[in-house]
Amino acid sequence: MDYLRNFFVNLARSWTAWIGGFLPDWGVNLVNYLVVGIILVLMPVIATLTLTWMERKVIGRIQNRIGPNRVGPWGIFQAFADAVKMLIKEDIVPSGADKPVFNLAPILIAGAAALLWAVVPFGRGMIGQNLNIGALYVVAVGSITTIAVIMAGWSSNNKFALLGAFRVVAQLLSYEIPMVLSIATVVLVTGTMRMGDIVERQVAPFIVVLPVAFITYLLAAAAETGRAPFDLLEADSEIVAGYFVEYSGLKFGWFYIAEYGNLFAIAAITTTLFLGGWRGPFVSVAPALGPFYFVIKSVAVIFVLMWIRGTWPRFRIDQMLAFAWKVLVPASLANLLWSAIVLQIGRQPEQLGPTIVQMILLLVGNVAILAVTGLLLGRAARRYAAQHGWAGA
Amino acid sequence: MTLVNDSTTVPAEPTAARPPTVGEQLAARFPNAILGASTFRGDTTLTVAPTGLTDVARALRDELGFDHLSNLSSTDWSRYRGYAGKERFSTIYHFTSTRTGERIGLKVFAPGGDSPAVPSLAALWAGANWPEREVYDLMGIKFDGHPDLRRILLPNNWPNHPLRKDIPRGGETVPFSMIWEDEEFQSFGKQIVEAKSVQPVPPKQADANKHMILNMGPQHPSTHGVLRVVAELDGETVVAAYPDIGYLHSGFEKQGETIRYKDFLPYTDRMDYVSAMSNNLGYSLAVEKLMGVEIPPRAQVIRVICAELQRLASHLVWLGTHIMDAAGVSHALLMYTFREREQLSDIFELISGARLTISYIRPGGVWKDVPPSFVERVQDVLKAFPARIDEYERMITENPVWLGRARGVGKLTAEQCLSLGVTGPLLRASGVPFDYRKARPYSGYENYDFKVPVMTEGDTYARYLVRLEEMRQSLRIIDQALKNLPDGPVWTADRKMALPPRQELDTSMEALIHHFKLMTEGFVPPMGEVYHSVENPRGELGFYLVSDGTAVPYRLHVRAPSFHNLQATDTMARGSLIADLVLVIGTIDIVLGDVDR
Amino acid sequence: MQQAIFIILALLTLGAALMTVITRNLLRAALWLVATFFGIAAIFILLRAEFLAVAQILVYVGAISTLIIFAIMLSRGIMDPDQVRFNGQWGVVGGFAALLFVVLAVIVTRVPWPAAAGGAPVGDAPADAIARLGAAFVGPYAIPFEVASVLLVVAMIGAIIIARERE
Repeated sequence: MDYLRNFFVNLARSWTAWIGGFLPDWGVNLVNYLVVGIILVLMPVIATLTLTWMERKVIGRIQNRIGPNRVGPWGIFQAFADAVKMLIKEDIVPSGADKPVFNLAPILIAGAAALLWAVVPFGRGMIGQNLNIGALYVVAVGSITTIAVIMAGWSSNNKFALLGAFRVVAQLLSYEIPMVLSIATVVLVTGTMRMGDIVERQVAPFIVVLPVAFITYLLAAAAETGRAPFDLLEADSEIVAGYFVEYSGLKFGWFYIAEYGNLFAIAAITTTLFLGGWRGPFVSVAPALGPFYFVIKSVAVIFVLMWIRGTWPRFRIDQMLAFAWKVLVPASLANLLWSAIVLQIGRQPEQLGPTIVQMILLLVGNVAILAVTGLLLGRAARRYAAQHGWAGA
Repeated sequence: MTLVNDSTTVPAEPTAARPPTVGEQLAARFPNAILGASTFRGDTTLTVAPTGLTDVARALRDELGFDHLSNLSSTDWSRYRGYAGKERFSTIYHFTSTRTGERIGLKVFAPGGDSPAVPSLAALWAGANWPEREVYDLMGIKFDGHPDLRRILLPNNWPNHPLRKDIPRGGETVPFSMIWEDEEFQSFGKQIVEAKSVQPVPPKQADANKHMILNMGPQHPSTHGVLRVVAELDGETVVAAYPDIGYLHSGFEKQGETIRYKDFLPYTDRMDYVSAMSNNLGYSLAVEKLMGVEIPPRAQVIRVICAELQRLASHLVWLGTHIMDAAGVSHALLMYTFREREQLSDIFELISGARLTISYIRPGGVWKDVPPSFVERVQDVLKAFPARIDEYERMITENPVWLGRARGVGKLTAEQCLSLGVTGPLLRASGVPFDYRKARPYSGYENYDFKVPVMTEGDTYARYLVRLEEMRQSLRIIDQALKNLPDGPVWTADRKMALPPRQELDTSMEALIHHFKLMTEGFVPPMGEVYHSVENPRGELGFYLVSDGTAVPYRLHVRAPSFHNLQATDTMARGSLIADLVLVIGTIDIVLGDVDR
Repeated sequence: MQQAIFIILALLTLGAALMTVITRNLLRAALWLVATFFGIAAIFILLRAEFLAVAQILVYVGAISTLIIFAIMLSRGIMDPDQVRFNGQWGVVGGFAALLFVVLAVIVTRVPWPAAAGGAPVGDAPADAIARLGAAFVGPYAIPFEVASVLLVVAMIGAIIIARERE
């Protein structure tokens, strides 16, 4: 029973002890690194297999359909069938494509998706590498995606792909800034960039302490990964599939894996930063519950994103950039400033995480920022509509 | 001079008893240009000299209020009965006044024998551009002063002008492949990202050196069929959009000249395949007008119910696909609208046995009387739909992203609409309260209490609201029609079209002969020509029929609303973004079967 | 072990840098530049300077390379691989490059680096290195830091003005 309480950590210990029996120390390390590496690389693949099924089911229900229901019970093996189909499809390289770049892009994008998982804490002590710059690492790895997408769009020798690449530059660079600002707010409040420590110091989930940062991060992250309503990079009705329009077979599959790997990763990071990560009832008694809480919270975030996809129209590129620069950046900047002020007010030496009073002050400030933003947006919309003589102003 | 009429007269001086007709006013103003006038089944057609066409048309538009160029077509008279050595080709123009609903036709006999030419009206009505290109393409009549006279439906290398009477139907070699040396292909088809920068030959209008030329279609998710839009882009901004059509051209008009009147009906299903009932109705009314028969009241009410149900179904398809343009296939509304449309398709299946290509409304009435459960099923629709439409409204009408995407996009002013020949919801969303059900009522639409929704903004959002309101008004019409559904026959009693009752065949020789003639030959309209238009869900659907007194149409022309509305793409999309171009195509609500025919 | 990894990384980085210079296709050259940045980031990690490594990827790979590639994509003519690689000023530029190399080499060899002198071993970076780095930015180095940010703001405003004038 005691073993089960902290099942995953104990399992890892037993495993290390077992292989330590017949391997030297460096061998144990090497094997363990390999195992962790393989698990992390497999995460996007596992995420793709489960999330495609989930997305098709969720969107199906939203659309008044059943969704996949043929392969296996409730269609859960549909994703495997799709994977097999993708594996055996012909690999097509368009004429005039820049072949090395064309082939490199899917590898790079899937690699970036896998790298993100290195700093996600699934439970106490269950983290690939508790980097001391974990939060910054998330942003940095995300920016590799930009390069991969540009490579794919440019090398395809297709104008739709090129337009997708053009959009990527504007969109990803713009949304990186509110994303960094909202992460910075969390880092400021917790005083650490280690993803594991952020969870440890999150007494109350930051979604109720820093709602502005949470909303900003979720929207920016949705934009970074090209989820609806920010899916302009691959807008099917405008530029067909955007940057990966020319890819087929397994290479197309890599883009798919990267997309869903990133989806799960941003949900996991949102959970880590704002939803208390693996925290939950009884988790101090039985740390093995942590990963379950973590996955449940992440899936809830993913569900919200899918829900948005099923019911919201897509932004236009100019509206989208305006939204980032005129709404998200000012709001998150104000939030960052307010957080810095609040933390300075009741500052205690060697303080880890915010105090109760600070949290209440932070919440008050966040609510005020939300209210002011909403007010200004509404007024601007009415004025703009009145200027143009539009209906429904 | 005129060929097709039953009362050729040069218009007389107006008498004091009545105000002068439009024809008389024009004849007084342009004594040299107006060569004659004829009236057949209430359609007045003036014969105009080619040199006077532009002046007469301008006077019609600016002074007499005929601001809408409804239809532009042509006829090859070389095989017509009574034709002897006169001008072989004529063009015909039908003008409608959006204020009074009056209509007048102008006919111009084109001089030049086998290579005829008439003046172009494209300078007066921008919307004359495509119809004139169509006439040039299919009939080979040149239009002097036309800005861009190229083939429009057929490939550039097509060997003939197929609607001419000396070209047989079928049998020709079909040069479908694009020629690589073709200038147009070179400029549009090449990619700008080539390993070696090859400068493409710039097309006439597009600046391929400064801008990116993007081929959208004919295989593209949001061109709603095989439409190709060549977009000239500066970054993401659309500098110009050139729609390229004809990928679905099936030569329905040529086909119509070889089969009997009633046999053409299934073809109308396949033109605007999203609203087959409305097409059936438009064609049936045109044929009945040519025949001069009356339709019994029950059939008329059933026709109205069917046409309005079809309008609902068509607008549902539009709404679902329009949202799909704006949101991608994952948006929920598409499936919601198709769920509702299923209910309507079931009703069509109940009454006709078919769900898409219905052929239920036929010249002479409707195919068969509706089954008893019809009324109940339609009442279910009436009960369910208001809540459903409200549900759609709750989903997107106030959605900020939808507001941002739709408002101010694809703007058309009323003047632009009239100039381009745009009709239907697009025209009404730009502030012109013009609806054929009100302006020129047919099938008893004057007996129903309904409103024509009009908005003045003229953008995509206004058109969205107009169409939603039209759905509500259609429900009102259906409700009234159901309440007043009279009993009686559903087929005309006029023996010109209707078979004699079975018992008469035993006693009357005449009835037997009549039966034999109708069964073997089909009904035979008198010599003459008519144009009749109805309010299709997409706009003005008109049929222009020329009869030479046989059971087969001499000339059959379809004025397709999508074809004319699609011309507005460039005007609407210029200066907006690619995302807006997609919405513009969606808001026009085209059906490519209707565009290309 | 560390030495071996360093040599491999250094060779890869230098090779990528060389490819950046000699590749004829400009876009490929930009991508080789990205590879060079990655190599440098890896060396930073080897030196336990994770913050610098991540900043390197974030700024150089994520932002600067993206903009370089974007600029290349927008200017079609220079993608022609048949372009000449040298223009009339190559001698001057080469001279300056050589001079720069000499200066850097002198600095690197003459400065008494603590690690090289057997000071703090590389492996023992302090746990709060980032906190100390941050404190240094707003403490002793506040003025250079602010000057740099003012410079960036000036550059940004200048860029906006130049871009606006064309319209």
